[in-house]
Amino acid sequence: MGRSVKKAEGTRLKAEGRKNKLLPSLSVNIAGIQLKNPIMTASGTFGYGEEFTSYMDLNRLGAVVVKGLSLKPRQGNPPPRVVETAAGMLNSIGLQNIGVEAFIKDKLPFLRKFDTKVVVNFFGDSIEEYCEAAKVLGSADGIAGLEMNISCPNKQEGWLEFGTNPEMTFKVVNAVRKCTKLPVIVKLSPNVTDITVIAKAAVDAGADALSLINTLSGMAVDINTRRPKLGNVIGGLSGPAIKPVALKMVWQVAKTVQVPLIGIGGIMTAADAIEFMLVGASAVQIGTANFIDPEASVKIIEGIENYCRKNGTKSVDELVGWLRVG
Amino acid sequence: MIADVLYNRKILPAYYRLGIGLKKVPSFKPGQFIMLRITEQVDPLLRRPFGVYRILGSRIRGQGSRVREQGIEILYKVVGKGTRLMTGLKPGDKLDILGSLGNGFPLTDKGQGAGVKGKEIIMIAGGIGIAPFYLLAERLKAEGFRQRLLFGGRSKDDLPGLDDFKKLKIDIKISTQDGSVGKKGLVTELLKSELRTPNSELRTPNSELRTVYACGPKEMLKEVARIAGKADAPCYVSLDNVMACGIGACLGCAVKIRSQKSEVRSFTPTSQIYKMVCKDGPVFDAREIEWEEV
Repeated sequence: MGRSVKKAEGTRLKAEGRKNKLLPSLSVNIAGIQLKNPIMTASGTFGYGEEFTSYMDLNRLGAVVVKGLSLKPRQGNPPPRVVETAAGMLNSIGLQNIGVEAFIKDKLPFLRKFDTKVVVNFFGDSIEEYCEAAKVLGSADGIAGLEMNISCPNKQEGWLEFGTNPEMTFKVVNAVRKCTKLPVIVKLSPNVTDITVIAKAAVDAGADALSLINTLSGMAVDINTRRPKLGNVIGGLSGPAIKPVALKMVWQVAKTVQVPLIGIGGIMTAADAIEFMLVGASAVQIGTANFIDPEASVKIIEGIENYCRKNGTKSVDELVGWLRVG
Repeated sequence: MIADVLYNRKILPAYYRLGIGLKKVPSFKPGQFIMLRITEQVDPLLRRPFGVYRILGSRIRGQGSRVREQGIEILYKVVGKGTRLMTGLKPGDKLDILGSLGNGFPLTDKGQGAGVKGKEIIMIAGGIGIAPFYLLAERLKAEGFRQRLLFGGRSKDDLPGLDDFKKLKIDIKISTQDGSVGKKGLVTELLKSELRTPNSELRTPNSELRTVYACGPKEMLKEVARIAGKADAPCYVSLDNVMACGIGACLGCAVKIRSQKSEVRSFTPTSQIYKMVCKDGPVFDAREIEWEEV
């Protein structure tokens, strides 16, 4: 009897060992936010989560990053707001959103029901507005972290985008850092001369992590009407077309700063996500792919798990910054 | 949802009908749409919206020989890269669709005052704008409404699906811009005479008993809304717009709606100035739309 129990126990342990070997750990930690896997949804491509619940299981995600919020609601830009370009899309939604208060009251309670981390993307057009929004969000329960969109014009500095200037980046990140205890992720704009300079400014100001890249500035023209295809004339380019640019920027920034990085830019497949991890991203965000396939993020999680299993990678962490050059 | 191509037939020089086989057919209201992913490749990247034209017969189980395929049929016009690629689809090819999406046409008098029995429904379609009307006509017929279709196009080659409507034996009036079939001119002229009394006043004692449902090019819809408005006839329009997701997430397919007050940058969620064609539409009360900005 005793012997058979021991034997059964041994078999169980062995099976568990095999299982552990088969199931790599996908968990990652970003600035104190423990994610069950490195897949997050990118802001503006996943609504407030509820839009996707009939197509996929939100519990599978490492984190949901919600549509960017401002202190007060915004109407957004005049249409047309979207135009497809070669392997990409241009958008000029204009940051339409319901505002931080309506989010906390109407959207957050629903999101909190899921076993996933809620990261709130937010922005402002002045340092005061950023801080006010951060304070309101900091008072709500169930928010794991904040992601600052700094690709917004600063009305106090001639509508220059915060994220295109290292001093303005430092000032706004530093101010937000002082008014919230939540982890602060700063989302970088690629529309700059040297992204590492902005990355350093954000980290010096107290950013806990960086996410990159936001959309690339672009435009499209209708040759029949001879007018811009977007109501706002210019917009932001996303999708597979921007992946090589994003990858290079993550690689550059990874060599410059020590904080965790979240890679964003045209990720459609697990292979794309793994590329970003190899150049130094600890996690990734899925954006435009959500529009094409609402289940894209779940498929990418499964793909990463398979990759780790095939390559004997015990923990997905091991992939981060693995790239060997030369 | 993964689906199979059942057939892909050219019906007119620029128009095709595509049969899509589905294991389980979701319920579709007339006027609802699907988002179709044309390729696994990244160019074209986004799905394309298509109105559901017909529901294909349900599978009869265990009856041996006569097993019909079930699914849906869409009509499409070749206009760009995506639809050009679609012309190459062959029976057995796999498709990826999302749907049913959107609100569809209001069908009862509950809330929106649309199809009260005894009222006449006037459907007005321009070219490929015919797509959402077959399901509607079928339903209206089954429910005993009086209905009339006003169908217009550039020429006889721009009236896709006309034969299907003829088979339904509903009242049809046709116009073409080149006069190759039906009355020469714009289909909106047919609507004017439809809503006009003998003394050529648009407003008639009975015009509110007629409800207009419209789908077609934006200029046509604008004119339909104007004519129906003048005649005090309720009017619902099905709008088309570029959209990335079709499920209300991207906020790309915004359409400006009329506001009581002049708009301001800050607003309360109840006084929004944009609605989304994919989620709030594609069918809107014509009075709700800010036509100047369409």
